[in-house]
Amino acid sequence: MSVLKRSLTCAVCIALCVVLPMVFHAIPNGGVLFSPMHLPVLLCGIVAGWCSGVICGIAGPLLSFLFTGMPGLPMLPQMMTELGCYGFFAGLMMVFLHKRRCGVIISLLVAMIAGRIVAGLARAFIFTPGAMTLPIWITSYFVSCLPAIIMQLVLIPLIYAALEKTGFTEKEQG
Amino acid sequence: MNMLGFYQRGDSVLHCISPSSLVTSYFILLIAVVMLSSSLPGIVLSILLIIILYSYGGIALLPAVRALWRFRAFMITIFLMNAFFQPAAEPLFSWWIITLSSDGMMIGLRMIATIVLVTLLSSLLTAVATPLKITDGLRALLHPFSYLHLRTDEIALIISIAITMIPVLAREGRYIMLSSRSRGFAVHGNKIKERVLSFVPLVLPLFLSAFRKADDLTSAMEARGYRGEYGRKRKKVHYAKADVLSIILSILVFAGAAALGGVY
Repeated sequence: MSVLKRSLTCAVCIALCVVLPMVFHAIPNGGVLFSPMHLPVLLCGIVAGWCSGVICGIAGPLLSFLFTGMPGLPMLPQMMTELGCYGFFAGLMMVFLHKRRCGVIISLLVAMIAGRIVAGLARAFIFTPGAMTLPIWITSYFVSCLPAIIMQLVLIPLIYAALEKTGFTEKEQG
Repeated sequence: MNMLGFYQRGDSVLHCISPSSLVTSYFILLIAVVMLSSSLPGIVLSILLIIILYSYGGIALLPAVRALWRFRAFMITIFLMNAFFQPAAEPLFSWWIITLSSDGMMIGLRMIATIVLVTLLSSLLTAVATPLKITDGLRALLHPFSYLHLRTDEIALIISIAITMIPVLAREGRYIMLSSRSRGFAVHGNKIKERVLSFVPLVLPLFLSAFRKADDLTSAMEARGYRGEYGRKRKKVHYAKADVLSIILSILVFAGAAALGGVY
């Protein structure tokens, strides 16, 4: 994939970080249950590489805040850290696993776990020191967003397969 | 129609400000508005500021407010959630898990005010500046990071294209949502699996359409010989009095907001 295509894929994913929450908020409780901003960031990391994934993870929530006021200012740094990690780990794992059949699923799982660990540590030591405990971490990052995790595990491999079929993810010739 | 992200031609003062001054002023004003929206007098002042800025920019405010009206259900939900579920020492009414309090109502009001004001300010930026102008402004702001060997030009291009894509994809998303609803779309079932699967026909076409757009844009830019910033010549920007004035006024508003934040 050319550098320009990576950049434009990243740009489109950042735009989706703003648009998808709008679509999901039209459904009652859709935004809270399905974490719609995670989808484009993970996909950007997987399709366009770790560098684009990090940019998308940082710029996505920031642009969403600037254009829609969501997420709120107190949540913004936490989300930027969490999503930046998702994009980074998803892209990094794809470097090693892009030829494997289950590469996308493994990358997704590693990115989700690593991102949640980093986000939990960041909350525990930087953003809300002292307020983070193991049960709170498990509840807020795994239990309450279980539908989001399942949706990401279902949708991202589907979208990636469709993109592969259309030749979008093919490597540049020559 | 004044939808978020659409540029509107004009020759107002805001249209003529240089890109770097415009984007810098925008960020300073944005922080000021967020600070001001924490109190009721601050919200009133922010609304006045927005009205003044829109009139100086020659942009009609009403269509922008009408575009925001589409999110009324979301905003009402935010208000009600805060008004009825915030724990309070002196509740106005309390029953089971429901606690109606004036503090909760105030928090809800503040959140809605922040969302509305920030959106209106961003809407004004995209209405008075072309994506190219915003890219130039961002490039100027990000320039110090280039000393850390970050490719700031590319980051500015990515953000600028993302801003351009927001209204396009929002419209696409709305069409997909409406067409899905016309075919009887609903989030049905109590099981998580059923609820998740009901989202597939909504999200999948939006993603595929977005990636198709990225692909088309790549082909178009490559066909026109785009090679990044390599070998590009830029027109030298000349700063006028309006540029300096805009930044000074923004700093004054910011200082006022900080002072007011201390008072309230």
